[in-house]
Amino acid sequence: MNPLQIQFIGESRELLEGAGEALLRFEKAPEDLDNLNSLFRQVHTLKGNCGLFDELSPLGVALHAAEETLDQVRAGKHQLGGQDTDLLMEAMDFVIAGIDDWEAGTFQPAVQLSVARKLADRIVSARAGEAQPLPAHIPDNEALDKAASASGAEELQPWFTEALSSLPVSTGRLVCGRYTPEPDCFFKGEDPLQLVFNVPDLVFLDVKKLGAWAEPSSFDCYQCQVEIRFVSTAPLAPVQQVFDYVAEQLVLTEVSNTESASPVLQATQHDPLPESVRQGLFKVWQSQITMLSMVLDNDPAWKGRANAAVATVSALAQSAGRPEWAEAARAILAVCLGENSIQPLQAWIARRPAELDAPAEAPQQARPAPQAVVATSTAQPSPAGTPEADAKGISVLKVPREKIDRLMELIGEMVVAKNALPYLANRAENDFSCRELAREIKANHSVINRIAEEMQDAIMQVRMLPVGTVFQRFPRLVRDLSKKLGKQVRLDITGEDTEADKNMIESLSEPLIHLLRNSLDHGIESPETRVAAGKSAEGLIAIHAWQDADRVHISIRDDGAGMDPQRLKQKALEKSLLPAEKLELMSEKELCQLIFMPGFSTADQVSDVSGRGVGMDVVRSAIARVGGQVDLQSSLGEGTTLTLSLPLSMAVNKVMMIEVAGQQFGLPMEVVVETVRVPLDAIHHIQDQQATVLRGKIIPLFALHGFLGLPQQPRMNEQNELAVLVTRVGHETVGVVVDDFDSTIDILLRPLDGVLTHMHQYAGSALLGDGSVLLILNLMEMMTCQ
Amino acid sequence: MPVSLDEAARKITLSGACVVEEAETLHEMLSSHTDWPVDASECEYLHTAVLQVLMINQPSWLGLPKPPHLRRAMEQIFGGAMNRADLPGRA
Repeated sequence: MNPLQIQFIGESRELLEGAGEALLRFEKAPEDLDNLNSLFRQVHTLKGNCGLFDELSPLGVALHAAEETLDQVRAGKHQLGGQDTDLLMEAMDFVIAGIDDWEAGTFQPAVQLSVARKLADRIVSARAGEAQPLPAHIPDNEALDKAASASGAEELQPWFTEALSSLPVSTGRLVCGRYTPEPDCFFKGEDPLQLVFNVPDLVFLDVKKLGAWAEPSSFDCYQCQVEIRFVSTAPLAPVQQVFDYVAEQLVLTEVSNTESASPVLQATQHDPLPESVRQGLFKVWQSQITMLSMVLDNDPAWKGRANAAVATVSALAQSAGRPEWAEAARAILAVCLGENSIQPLQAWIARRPAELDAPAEAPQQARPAPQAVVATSTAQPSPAGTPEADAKGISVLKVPREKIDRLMELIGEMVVAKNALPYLANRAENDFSCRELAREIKANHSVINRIAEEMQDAIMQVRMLPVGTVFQRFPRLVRDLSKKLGKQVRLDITGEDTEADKNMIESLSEPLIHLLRNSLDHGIESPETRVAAGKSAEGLIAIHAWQDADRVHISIRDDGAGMDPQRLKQKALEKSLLPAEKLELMSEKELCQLIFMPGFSTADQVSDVSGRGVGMDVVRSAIARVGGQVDLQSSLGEGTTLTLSLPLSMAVNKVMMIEVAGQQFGLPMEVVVETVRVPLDAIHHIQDQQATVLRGKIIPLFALHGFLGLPQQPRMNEQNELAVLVTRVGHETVGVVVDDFDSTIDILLRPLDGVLTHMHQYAGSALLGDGSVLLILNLMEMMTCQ
Repeated sequence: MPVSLDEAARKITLSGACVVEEAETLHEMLSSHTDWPVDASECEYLHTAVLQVLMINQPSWLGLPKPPHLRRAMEQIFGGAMNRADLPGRA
């Protein structure tokens, strides 16, 4: 797959997503013209892009039909009905599938073409009344070209004469052009004026109104209603090149102006300059262009600058054996002094003698830029096009995700590698008694630490995506599902700009869809039930995202039936998930949490929307895997709210190191609430369970030794105190008894793989600075396994 | 904001990159403040759509963009409508 194909696939997916959204919006608000225009534009661009690849012509056929329909709607000739929308969506789906197949290399143009034709026919016949047969093939640029060249160049003449008279100097050959942009060119992201600025050696530019303009009050800002006329001293070909994409909107003609009275830089009959001399002269001349382009008329030093430039040119002329350059320069200087403006000289010098230009194989390189503003006046002049244009071209980069992932991995390793320095400092001090060296290593470490942290932050920023990217699919999902289920649902999304790490967002996608399906299927009732319950027939699902400190929260709230704790209890009993006595003791809120238990499904009938297959337990563990939590609140008859809370990023984790039976383990900082030393006499025994009271709250205590199957007993310090790590596991606060606390460090968590994969008690492993392996515990799993 | 109303100086200011989206804002400003002059001395980029709006409203000028290519183009386009002596940066 070549880079063009890769870019095409990426762009097309974006466009398809955008078009899908716009289509849904259109259904809701058909009067929103901006939206309709954007929809049309997206489909139009897609069609154009598909035209780049011959084998994708079936997609072009389907898109063309869709575009036609949209165009008719735009023109007010057709009303978009439900059937149209469905068909347009089908067309989008067809294109999505086509691009997927094409990427996988399984696209069969011949087969797809007949499918596309049928689809196109249906779209056309849905547009009954104004239905038109599909044209055999879509673009026909040749005809356009012919039409453009037929319109004569002679009409350029009158204004050209006028333009020429306003030029400070003129040369032997000139290219003049008239560019009439399409009225809707702004919607294609074109900027005609900027395009003309890109014309090499531009010496004249004027913008004229096209036809009679409306009153200011009824003026349409987004219709291009001007034409641009310009004159350039560059050869015809490079000028034409600038307008490659809009060639049919351009009339170009080459004129020679021999009766010019002004001094002219003409190609003379001298012997050609040796290449090394030419390059030297070119550089010097170019530096004068750059220097002069920085000078404005109001600069008090302009005369000095002008004199200097003319002196330089004279010297150049002498060394090159071209005295006519010096004469011309002096003549122009006289004009400048007469007009009290440096502009004539600026224009003159920008048109350097043709023989200084690089030989024909690199005409692009040698393109001088009269409009160029180069930041430094003394440094080497940039030989390429205008720096402005270059800078704009690369202001947004599309980078393959693998590269960013690689960066992230590297910085992760860097963070870990820098952890080795404190060890080294300790060794220097203890093993080699080099305190001085230890101090220096520590100082260096703090510098590297700061840079690594900033770097990590910067890379993290690059990876941040708005959570809205996951939500994009939801409107369509809700629309399709609610139709299928015969429910009326309004989806309300807020806070989609909240940003989180790309991996986090990707891992959210599946669980969120599952939650949304649940809300639709089990939460929102049928319109009749809702009306009977005194609610509006249309249900509401509100998705809200927000950031709070270093966590992102996403809530999904529905105003549906809510959950019935008693029914949940009944279900749990039937499936004997928990003993009856335990269920009796549970609060309503705790009963609601039952749905997170494996093997729990409450829908009376298993539908193809949700239920069966993945349950809420899968959602919970998927979220927990990326360090997140799920919270559920439900009240019967009023609705359910599920709140996901996730860390902003998951690449580098902070863990607290602890010591148990002479071994080191790590615990994610997210679960650690505080560390306390509990005196032995403050530990109470409730049956076989230990507990302590911390600020008026009972905290159950578990010794990590037991969890890990270690025979040792927790170690006490000299004051007979136990080291207790107060942690938050799910919704409970739990005290974990360890032997000792250690420092917190940044680690790059590597999940366990191979034969260790099934050991869920460990979240993963990490490499420490001294080369040893640290196992990171998964407290949640340990508690459930208990 | 690339396009803004300067209430204190009673002028409309164009600064930085005036992209296509600014056209409508500027059009409204110019329509409701017909006698306010436009100061484009800080403007670095002007989209054709914005230029069009300036062309239909024909405001008076307080300053022209600094980039020479843009400045020259604007002088050509609005040449008749502007009094060069009024412009700062012009002798």
